[in-house]
Amino acid sequence: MSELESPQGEREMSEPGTAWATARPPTVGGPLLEVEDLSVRFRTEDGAVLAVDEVSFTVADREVLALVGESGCGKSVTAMALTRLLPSNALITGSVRLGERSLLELPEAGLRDVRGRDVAYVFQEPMTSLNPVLTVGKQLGEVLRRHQALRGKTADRRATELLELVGIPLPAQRLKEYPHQLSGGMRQRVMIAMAVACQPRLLVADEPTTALDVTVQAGILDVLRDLRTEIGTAVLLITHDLGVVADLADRVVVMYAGRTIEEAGTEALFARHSHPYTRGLLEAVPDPERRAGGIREIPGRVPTLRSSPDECTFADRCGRADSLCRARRPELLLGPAGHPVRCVHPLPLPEVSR
Amino acid sequence: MTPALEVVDLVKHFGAVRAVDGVTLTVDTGEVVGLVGESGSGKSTLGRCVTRLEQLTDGTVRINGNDISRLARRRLRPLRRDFNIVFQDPASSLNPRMAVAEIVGEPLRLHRIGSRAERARRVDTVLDQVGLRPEVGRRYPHELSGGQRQRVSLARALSAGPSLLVADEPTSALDVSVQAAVLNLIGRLQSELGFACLFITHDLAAVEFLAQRVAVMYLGQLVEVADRASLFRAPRHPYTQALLSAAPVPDPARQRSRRRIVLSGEVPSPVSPPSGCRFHPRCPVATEVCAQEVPELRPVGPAGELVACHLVADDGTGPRLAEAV
Repeated sequence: MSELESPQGEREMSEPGTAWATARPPTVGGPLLEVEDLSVRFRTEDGAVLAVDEVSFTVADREVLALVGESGCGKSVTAMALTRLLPSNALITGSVRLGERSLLELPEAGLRDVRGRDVAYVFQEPMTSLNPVLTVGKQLGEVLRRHQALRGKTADRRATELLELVGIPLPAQRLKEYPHQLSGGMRQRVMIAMAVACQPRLLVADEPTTALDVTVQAGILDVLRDLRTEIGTAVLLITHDLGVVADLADRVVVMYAGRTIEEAGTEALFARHSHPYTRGLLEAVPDPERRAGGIREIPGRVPTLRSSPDECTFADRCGRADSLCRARRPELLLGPAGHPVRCVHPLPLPEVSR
Repeated sequence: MTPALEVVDLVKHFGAVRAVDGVTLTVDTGEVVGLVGESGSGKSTLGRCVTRLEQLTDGTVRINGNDISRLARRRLRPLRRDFNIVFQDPASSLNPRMAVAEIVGEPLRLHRIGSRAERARRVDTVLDQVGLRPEVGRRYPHELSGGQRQRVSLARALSAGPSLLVADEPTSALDVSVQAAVLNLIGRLQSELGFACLFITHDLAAVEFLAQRVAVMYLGQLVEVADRASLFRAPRHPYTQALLSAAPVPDPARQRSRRRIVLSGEVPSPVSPPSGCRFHPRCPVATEVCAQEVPELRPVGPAGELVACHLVADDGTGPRLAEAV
């Protein structure tokens, strides 16, 4: 299997138009993470806000799945909802299964064990996630003590190994330093080291390189890629950067206004996307070959929803929209390119790949 | 012809921090020059010095031939009509208590351009040019989206008809689809109105899209200045090569077959920059001379692109890192 092919297989035997829920191929041994009909509503002073609208996806062992979309599409809320890391005004429904366990039904104490040990998070801004008054060694030591009951020399040795794993030079010395003594890239490496300290089965990386320079980002992407081979962690990668997706992801779920609108292997998504919003995202990246024509824009903005509308939420911004798109809520169906898309008028396949 | 902007040996130190350390650069009338670099390279400080938001430590800035480097505030004010700046975060650069029309009309009022009625008409015209309806003039910044606020910033910067616009990361805080719209807008306004533009960014794709020439900055100094096409096709300085190779391209097959030049170490502190070439401790091809002698930014090759590297020969040939590592 080539590196770019999705572990779940790209070309389906089912006919286009088949409901994705029935066409979805069974994963051998079951997926690591199985999210089904996940919805998140927030109660606010101005009424309810629907942030995530019946999202379903799976992540296989050692797989890198990217959640992609603009801000307000619900990708971060989805990731936080997996282990109920949301404020108390959030109402989460649906199911999240990690192996044998249903995370949404676990009591808070059980969830605390899952967080950090089975599911670990890395966020965009490492400075706000690290404790400024504790050395790197103390913070790593705390994780190792709490989740793995490691102490003293054993814990120190493990901490040094972890810093080596994420490519930090002179790890023994770095353990004695405070977060402010490290550069942004080094802090993010420390965050990843803390996140993978307990060899989690799933690492949720929410815009992990967005605040970093490209030369620093390149190193972090290498670290995330190596985690898969070195400790067998699957990664749920949340990003708006399609270059990062192209670099790292096996499979991509594109979200728009809280809904999954397309799901495909990375190569297929870039070459044979079917949803007009996916095309819009891809074409919004400046292309010097098309200077004269300008960059293709997506007019309008992502709507804030109170409830799930019975229509396509992208219709107002879409050049292909007609009355059909507004007649009912489009289903996620197997599209012309053999992967699921939520669109009444999916884009035809490009000539070359027919 | 007198260039729109001439920067000569510009130096800006903040105490011991040598943020900008001897930069020479011109932007011709109607030209877009992209200034790229990573955080700490000094690119934003350069932009702020050029527009005299910072006092220069040393060196010269001339706008349309007028030396503004050391002008007192009172003498500088009438010249400010000629240049303006837009910033990354329009939310914090727009006065929240002023309606959009007041914000956009402020430069006209300060420079006493036209009558009140003429100014109001001018505001409507500029709002229209940046793609905002006249009604938006009555609204306040907090009522607008990020993209609309950046349009208002552009309208304010352009209302007095400057011949130079400094744009400091104008799209970095925006979502991709909004970024596209703002980049298109800057490109369209620039070709319609013909102002010169120093476009400061870390976004290489945006620079390749907008700029005619590109200047690359590292640790307070320029390492390479070249035409857009030749810089992106055949970058000469090892740092430029590393920078271009590190930016991921949105094409899985291409991205995964590229050779990435991963730089060792960290950007050194601008308090005590390395000896010789400032890039030498991280440069995979550095030699002894690189640690000892400061390379001069000098023209090389038939087209005379500027490169500050000992290893690039006068005919423009030099190390190609993708093959070297």
